[in-house]
Amino acid sequence: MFSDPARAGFVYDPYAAGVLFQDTAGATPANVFGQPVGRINDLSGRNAHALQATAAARPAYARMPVGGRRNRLPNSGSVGAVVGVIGSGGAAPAGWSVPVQLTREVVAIGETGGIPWFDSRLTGTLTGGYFLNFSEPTATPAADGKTWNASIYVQAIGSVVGADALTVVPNSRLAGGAVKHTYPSTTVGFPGAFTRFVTPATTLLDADGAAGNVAFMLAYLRLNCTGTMDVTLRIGGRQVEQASAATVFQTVNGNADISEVGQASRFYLLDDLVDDTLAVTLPAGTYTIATGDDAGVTILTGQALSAGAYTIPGPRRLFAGVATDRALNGTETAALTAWINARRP
Amino acid sequence: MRITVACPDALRVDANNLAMVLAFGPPDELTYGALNWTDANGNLYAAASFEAGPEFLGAAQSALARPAWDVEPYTISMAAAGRAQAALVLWNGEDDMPQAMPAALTAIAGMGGLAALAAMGLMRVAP
Repeated sequence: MFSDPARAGFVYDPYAAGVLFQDTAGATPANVFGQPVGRINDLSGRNAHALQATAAARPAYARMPVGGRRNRLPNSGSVGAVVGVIGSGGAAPAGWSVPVQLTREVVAIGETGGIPWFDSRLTGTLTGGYFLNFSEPTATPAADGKTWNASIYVQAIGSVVGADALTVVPNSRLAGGAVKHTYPSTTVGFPGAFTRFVTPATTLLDADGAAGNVAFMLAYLRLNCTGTMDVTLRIGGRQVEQASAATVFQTVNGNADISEVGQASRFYLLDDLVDDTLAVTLPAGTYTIATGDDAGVTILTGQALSAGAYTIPGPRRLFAGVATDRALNGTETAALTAWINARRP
Repeated sequence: MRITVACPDALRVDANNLAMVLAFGPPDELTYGALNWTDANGNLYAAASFEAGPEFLGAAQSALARPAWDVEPYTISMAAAGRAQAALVLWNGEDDMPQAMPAALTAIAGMGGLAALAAMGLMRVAP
């Protein structure tokens, strides 16, 4: 219906194979999530490819699961983890934040049932609490009155020496990241199997704790240390969601790569809302222009365009875009809406 | 890592020359375009936000070299690129975040684009 070469317009579908490229010439595919998109090929047969020659202004290739994103952590997988002593060649996963009072070593990295994990060995001498943050304190924005939960998979690997308690704790943070209020925790203990633990539903309130408004949600593991210690924990499946109950874990490897085991993905162009654009050269005409974004399908009719460069609409996430230089009838509009909706999460 | 840069009007030409040195080619001369952002004093800025590897930050703070693609007659003014580099204020992740200033090319790494611009004290100019 929209592939009539006799008409002007375009069909952009980031879900289609082989249509995204990092460069304008179409020489370097964009096939890794987060890569810049300098060109999306037109599928209408009109060769109305949309281009961006300026490197900094290219949107990114991205995916998210059907149903959308629930895990609000910027990184919940093992990306960035390197086996070894942290600070001496080893590295924790991106965002995982642990203080330096103990020697921290990543001893293994893996995945169980779609849940990425890493084994963290902690050694040294410490008495009292040791805090293993799910993320940086200012990573997950939050606001007064919203209810959250946090969840994590934990397993104790081998014997536990020098620690007698492990809990998962939700708290609120002030704008600068300082602790505002700590809420009731969930006991984890030292399970022998890789087990998920979920905090109670936690409503963050401006009225709780230190003066100031709720700005961020942070969850952490609190390990109670009793002296000389040697503990190895398998940690994975970190999730923080604005909801009362925990849902299926989503792997977040940055804003451009969110996935969920057992759930289909949707593919899109991720616009930074600062300077990203893609433009196509079109002849003058009166167009119908349809796009799919988070909010739904938008179909603009009677769009009078001059000949030349047309900047394709750049919502935060563009799942599909279609233009044709004519009006659509009711049947065509319904078919186009269904086609775009099938590409939205 | 995402890098977001605020470029004041007076530095746009210089900053676009620096962009050509650090990125890929002549189209990067358009990196800093419309003055869509303003500080509390009404100064206008162009902004760019992009993903870059860790080597980018090193290159941005090292001696600049003319890219191999730039042959005579040169496209890039290395003098202009050098002036932009001298004006670069890059947040190191530890001190207070820098505020955008009319005489500086202000850059924040590791935050989302809009959050970084807000942290610099910038607001989008009403269309």
